[in-house]
Amino acid sequence: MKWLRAIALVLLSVFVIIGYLGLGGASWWIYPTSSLEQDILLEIRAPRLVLALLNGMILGGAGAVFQIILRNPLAEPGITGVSTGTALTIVVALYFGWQGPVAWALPFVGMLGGLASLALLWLLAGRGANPLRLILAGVALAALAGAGISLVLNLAPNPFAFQEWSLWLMGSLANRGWEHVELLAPITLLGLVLITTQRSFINAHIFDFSTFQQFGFNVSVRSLLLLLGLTLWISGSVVSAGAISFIGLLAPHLVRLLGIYHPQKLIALSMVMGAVILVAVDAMVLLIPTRVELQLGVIAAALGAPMLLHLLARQRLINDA
Amino acid sequence: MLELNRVTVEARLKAVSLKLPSTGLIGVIGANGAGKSTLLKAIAGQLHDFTGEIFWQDKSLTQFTPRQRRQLLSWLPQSPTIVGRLTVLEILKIGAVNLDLSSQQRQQRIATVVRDFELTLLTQRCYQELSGGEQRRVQLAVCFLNEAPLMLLDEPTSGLDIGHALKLLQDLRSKASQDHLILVAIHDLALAAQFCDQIVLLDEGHLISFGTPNEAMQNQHISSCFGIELEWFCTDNGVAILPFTKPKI
Repeated sequence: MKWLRAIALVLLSVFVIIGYLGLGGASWWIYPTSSLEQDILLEIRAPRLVLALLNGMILGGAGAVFQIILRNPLAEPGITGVSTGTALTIVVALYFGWQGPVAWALPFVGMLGGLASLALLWLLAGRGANPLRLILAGVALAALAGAGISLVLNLAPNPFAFQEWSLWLMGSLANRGWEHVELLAPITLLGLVLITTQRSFINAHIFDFSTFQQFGFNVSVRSLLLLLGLTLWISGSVVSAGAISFIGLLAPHLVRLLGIYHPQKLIALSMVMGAVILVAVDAMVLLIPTRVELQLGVIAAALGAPMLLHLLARQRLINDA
Repeated sequence: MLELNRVTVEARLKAVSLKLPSTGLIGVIGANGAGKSTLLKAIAGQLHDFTGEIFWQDKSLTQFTPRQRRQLLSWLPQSPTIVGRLTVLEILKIGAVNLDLSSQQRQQRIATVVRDFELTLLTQRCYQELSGGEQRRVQLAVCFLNEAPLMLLDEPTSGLDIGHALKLLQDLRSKASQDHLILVAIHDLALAAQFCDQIVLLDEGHLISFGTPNEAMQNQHISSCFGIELEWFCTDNGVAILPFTKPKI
C-alpha cells in the first residue's frame, strides 16, 4: 500500500515534468520543430527544470535529515544558519562590486560563506552534536547573518541594487543556464555521497538520545561529516537559486502523511517530493501572468504554509477519532 | 571483573566503591532518588560529570573506543522512546548497528532476540500500536542484540505483567550464568531477593550494603533505607514480602 503511494508520487512527478517542459509551447508535443522553440527548450527550459529538480531534492532531503537528527519536526534546511550565512556572503560580495569579470567566482564565495557558517556553528555548539545546542546556535547564527543582510540592504548604493538583491534573496530560478547546473550537480552528488555514508547513523536517531549513545558511533565525527554534506547541499542551493523557504519543511511532512517513517525511505522520498513541489511551484511562477515574474520563494511559502496547516489539521482529526 | 573506585556524581552518588565478579545477576535496590539509575548510567558511560574510576577486566572504561564499548556493554534506560511508525522488525534491523558481525550473523542475532522475547507474531506490527509491555519487550530485544558481556538494565520489569516479569528474570539469571554480568535496577524487593545472585543497596547516594540477598537485605538495612518494616515469607517456589510501616510509639 505504501509502495503504491510511492509509485503514484513518482508518476505524478513525471507528469509534472512533462507538463512543465510543455508550458506555453502548445504547438509541439514530444520535441519542437522550429529552431527557436528548440533553443527555448534546450537552453532555457531544460536547465531551469534540472535546477528546479536538484534544488527540490536538496531542500526536501536536507529538511528530512534535519528533522530526524535534530529530533524536531519543525527543523528545516535554514535551521543551522548555513543558508543565511551563504546569502550574507553573496550579498556582501555584490555590495563590493563582485560582478562583471569576477562574477564566476561568486558561487565559490557563497560556498565558502556556507562552510564558514558551519565552522562557526560547530564552535558555538561546543563541537558536540547535542541537538538543542545545535538548534540554539543555528538560530543565533541565522539571526546574526539576517541582521548582516539587512545592514547591506540598508546601505545599498541605489534603489536598483536594493531591488535586485532583495529579489535574489527571495529565491528564483529565472535567468539560469547550464552553468548553474554544472555547478550544482557535482555539489549535489558530493553531498549525497556524504549523507549516504552516514545512513546507519541517521537511522539510529529513531531511538532516544540515551539509547542512541550506546550504539558505538563516534558522534562528533559522524555529525560533522553529516553537517558538511548538508552544508554543501544548502550552500549550493542558495548560490544557484537564492533562499527558497518552506519546501524543506513541507516535503518530509507530506511524505510522513503517506505513511512513510523509516528514516532512509523518508529522506529518499522527501527528495522526490521536494523536487515535485519545486517544479510545480516554478510552473506556477511561469503561468501566473504578472507585470514582473513572481519570485519562486514567495509562491512556495504562500502556497506551502496553508497546505501544511490543512494537512496537519486533517491528520490530527484522524488521530483524535 | 567490574571495579568501581570512589565513583562520585555530584549530589547523587557519593564515593561508591564496588568489586563485582564478571558473571552474575546483580540487583541494585534502594528508595526513589537513592542513586540506582545514576550508578548504572555512570557505568554505561552516559554521564560525563562523574569523578572516580570504573574498570572492566582491569582496563578503565574511558580507554574503550565507542565501537569497543558497543561490543562490551548494553544499556536499557528507564523509559526509552522510539519515534516514527516503524515495524518491530525495522526497529531491530536499525538497532543491530555497529556490531562486529557479518550480515548473516546479524540476521541470526535478530532471529534469536525475536524468539527469546516472544516477538515472532509482532515483527510486522507497528511499534506505536503495541501495548506498554510489548513495547518493553521490543526495547529489551534491541538491548540484547549485542550479546554484551556487561548489561545494565534500568528497571527492566517495569510495564511487564507478572508472567513476563518472572520469565525475564529467569532468562536474565540463566544468561548471567553463561558469562554475563547483568546489573538490574529493580523496585520489587521480593523478585530481587528471589533471583539476584548479589544485591547492591543504595541510600541517598551511599552504598549501604553489598552481598548475597540474605546479607544485603537484612531488616535493619531495609528499614533504614525505605522507612518500613518487612516480614519475609520464603518457600521453595519463591519469596514474598509483607511490608508494613513502623508503628509510632
